Amino acid sequence: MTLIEISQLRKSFGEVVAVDTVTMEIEEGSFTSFLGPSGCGKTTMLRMIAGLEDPDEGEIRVGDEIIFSSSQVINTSAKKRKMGLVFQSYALWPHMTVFDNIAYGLKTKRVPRQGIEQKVESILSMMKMQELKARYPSELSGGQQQRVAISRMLAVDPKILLMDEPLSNLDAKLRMEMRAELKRLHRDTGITIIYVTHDQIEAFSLSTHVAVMDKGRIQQFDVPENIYDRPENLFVAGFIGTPFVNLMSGRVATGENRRIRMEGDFDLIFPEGITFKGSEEVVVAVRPEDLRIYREYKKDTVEYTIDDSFNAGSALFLNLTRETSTLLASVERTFPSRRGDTVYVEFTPSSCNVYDRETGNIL
Amino acid sequence: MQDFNKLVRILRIKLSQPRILLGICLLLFLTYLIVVPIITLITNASCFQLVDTFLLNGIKEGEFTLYHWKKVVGNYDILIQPFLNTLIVGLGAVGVIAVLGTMIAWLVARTDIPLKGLLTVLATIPYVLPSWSLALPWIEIFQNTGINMAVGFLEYTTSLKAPLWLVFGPIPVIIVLGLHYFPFAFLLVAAALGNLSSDLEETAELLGASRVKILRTITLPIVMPALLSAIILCFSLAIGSYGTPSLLGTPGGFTVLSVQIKSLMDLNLQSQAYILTIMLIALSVLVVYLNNRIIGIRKGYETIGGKGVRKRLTPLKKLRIPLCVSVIVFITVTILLPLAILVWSSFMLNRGDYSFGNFSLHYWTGIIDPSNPEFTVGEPAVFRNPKFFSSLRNTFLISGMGAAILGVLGMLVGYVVVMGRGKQLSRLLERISFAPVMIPSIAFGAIYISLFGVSRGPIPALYGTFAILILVVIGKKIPYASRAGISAMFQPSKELEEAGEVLGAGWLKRFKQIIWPLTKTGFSSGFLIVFISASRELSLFIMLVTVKTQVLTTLIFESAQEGIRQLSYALMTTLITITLITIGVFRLYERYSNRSLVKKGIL
Repeated sequence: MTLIEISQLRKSFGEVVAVDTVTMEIEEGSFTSFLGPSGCGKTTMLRMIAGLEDPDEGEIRVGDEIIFSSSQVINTSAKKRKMGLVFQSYALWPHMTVFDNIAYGLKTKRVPRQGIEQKVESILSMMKMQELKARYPSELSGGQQQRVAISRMLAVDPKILLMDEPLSNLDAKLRMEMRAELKRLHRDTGITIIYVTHDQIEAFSLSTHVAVMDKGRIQQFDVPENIYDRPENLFVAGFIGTPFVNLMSGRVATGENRRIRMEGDFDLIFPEGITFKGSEEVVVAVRPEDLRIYREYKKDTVEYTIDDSFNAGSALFLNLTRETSTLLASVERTFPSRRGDTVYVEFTPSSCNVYDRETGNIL
Repeated sequence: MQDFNKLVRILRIKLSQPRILLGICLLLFLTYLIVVPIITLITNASCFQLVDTFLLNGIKEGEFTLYHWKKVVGNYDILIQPFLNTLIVGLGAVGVIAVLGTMIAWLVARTDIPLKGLLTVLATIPYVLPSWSLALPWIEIFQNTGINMAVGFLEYTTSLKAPLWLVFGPIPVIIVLGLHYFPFAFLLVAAALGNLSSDLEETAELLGASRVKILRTITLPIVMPALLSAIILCFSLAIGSYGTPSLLGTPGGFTVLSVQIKSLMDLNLQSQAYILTIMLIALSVLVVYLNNRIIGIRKGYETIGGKGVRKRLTPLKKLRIPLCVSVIVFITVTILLPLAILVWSSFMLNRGDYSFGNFSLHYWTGIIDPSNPEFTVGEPAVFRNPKFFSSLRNTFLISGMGAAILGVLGMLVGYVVVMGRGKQLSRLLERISFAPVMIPSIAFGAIYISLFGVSRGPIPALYGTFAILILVVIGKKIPYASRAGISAMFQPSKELEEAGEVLGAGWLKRFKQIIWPLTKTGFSSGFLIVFISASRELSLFIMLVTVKTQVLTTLIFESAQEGIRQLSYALMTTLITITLITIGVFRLYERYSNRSLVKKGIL
């Protein structure tokens, strides 16, 4: 069921268009991430949903209620939107204890004292922080501060929890732990979470839906699997994946709409059912892990030379060359990789995505 | 024996580090200027003085005694009344300062009020004025025939006669001190508000808090440490000030400790004066202690910044223009207008006559017969007055020397404190260099009399010399210089010096060629702040100057007290002009030197 409906949302700061006519629907109970490089407009999106930034144009609806509409001049104030927001800086009030930080929202709602204590205690125990309640933020570690920031928002039972890069100030190990914790939190509470991040692993491992943003626009909004397997345009293809995707130029062979002539002079033949228009300039995207590498010649493989290899711990990356074109492939760690060796690369056309060079859109 | 050798070796290694050696020297020097005087103050208060031997039989000078303590402590007229009055002045002034400073700071730092630059300049004007310059026009404005004085500006223009309590007594003292010191609160609170990330306020907003509630529960508590430290500073300044309470309080029968100390000194009752000084310092220290207790460990909240400080300004909507206008009007009426009246009054031949016909350069250039006692009480006009020129020279000499020495000293303190961060020596040096903040100016004067009044060991009696005045400037103003030095030393990273060390440069070379070029702005800002604040000091010098060492401020004060008011106004006008010119020159110099640094790509 759709919970948040955003239509034609637009916001500019002076000359800079931060969010450019975004339309999307966010499902109830989902964990939706806005993913993109810095300056792509993802934080502005979040702040507009929260009511901290006023959009120039467009409409935001939560359930049946319009909370912002430029045409109907509706703008519900942030405090009435009943959303929680966890800032990147956590924004814990330094002069209040953990308990007071968490109780603040309940106090503004004039919940009786006993109710406040009960609620705070139950949240503290859920977040495993009972023993920290009398501490001040400056006496907490980064992960604990993070937990307090989340608890503070959960205390008021928001329908929607917004998070702005909440893990970016933590070290790598803590980040892993907090990721698991956020996932558990989402599962246990069933709350709708909107999450802003520039870290794709974070977005993919946490989210039910990912919106990849660039230049103020949503480039692709889908479940994580589809975003990874079928990026809709070259930006998404290039942005998603570690280390990065191979983008190779090619041209659809004249008169044969299943055959693409690739750079480095070899052909890729796509299976029945996939057809291209003749003589198109295209870009073929293939992930390093989707390539099969053989030491011996096999049918339908292309000959490459090993230029270099990089040990990434869990995998081995090979830099391959063929004439002027290069290719990055990922292989087992045990793969013998001497510089100058010849290897045979098998492209599986079904795992390749083909894009129109001009529009950048998938074909 | 082995342990002893080991100790010697450790000491040799430690002392071979210039930072440690320098730190120890500075520590000893500052101890001598700050800690030793306080000890001699206490011992002197507990001894018979030379003067006591004339009054009492069978005692010897220098003998230990509690005689003076018994006489003073519990005595209503000598101690308790002035003590309570001091407390009233301190608390009252601090109240005015906190309210004014915080309100204007909030408007400038957190709202969309227009003309912020202008408002900031206006609100910092009192900062550059001598702390009692408004006391003179206060009398000029409010004096009236109803209290048997000359006609004042108010009576002249409106025929209103201000009641005595408005002209003299606690009320005018509190208001004038409040107006003089509120810029401290304004600057400190505005800085704290400027560093406050909007995230903190927005979180509260999301949790349903109203604007007023956010201000009350989030914004104000977070800037409270800054406000409190401004309050402490102003409290110490207010209770240690001498000019204002002496000019506005004493004629109304309102005596504070500073005035009492000075009059006991004048009566040659040094021991009693010392005891009162100790009380004054104790009061100041007590307030600092209470402040530390209240703020506790969460001193100065450091909010963790992610994306830097995001600020959302509160829209004032319909109140935008009215609030801006009222701040401007307020400062114009309370500060600029009195200053204008002060300047105007220096051009008035006869007091109380504000008409153009009364305009005269008499007190400036003395075109009217200088021997006419009617106008001058025998005192020549400013530009014909040898006392003016000598006091002007003395002011420049004392402030200039003090500022130059402190500029260097502050840099050295900054170097030792910053480079030795986290070490015991660094902490100790920082603490001792900030201690004089707690010692009110008037008390500093008193304790320097007790220390340098007689010769001790190799140091001769310094009373009546320039040296004691320069020393008192160094002792009292070291906190400003250290602050400038410390913040300058934070600029270059430690590695820059270490790179020089690895390449084999000696310490002096490193300091001269690496540290100094990158931090010399610290010297000039330390110099400027010390020079300006020393050149307008009255309470620090009032007990130490003699005819020969008279400075501008003490001359102004003396003229005012002797009733040559127009002359004192003319002198005050000159002093303010000099201060403004000094600031202007320094700003130009800084801009020039910054530009040359920018050109070289350093800044």
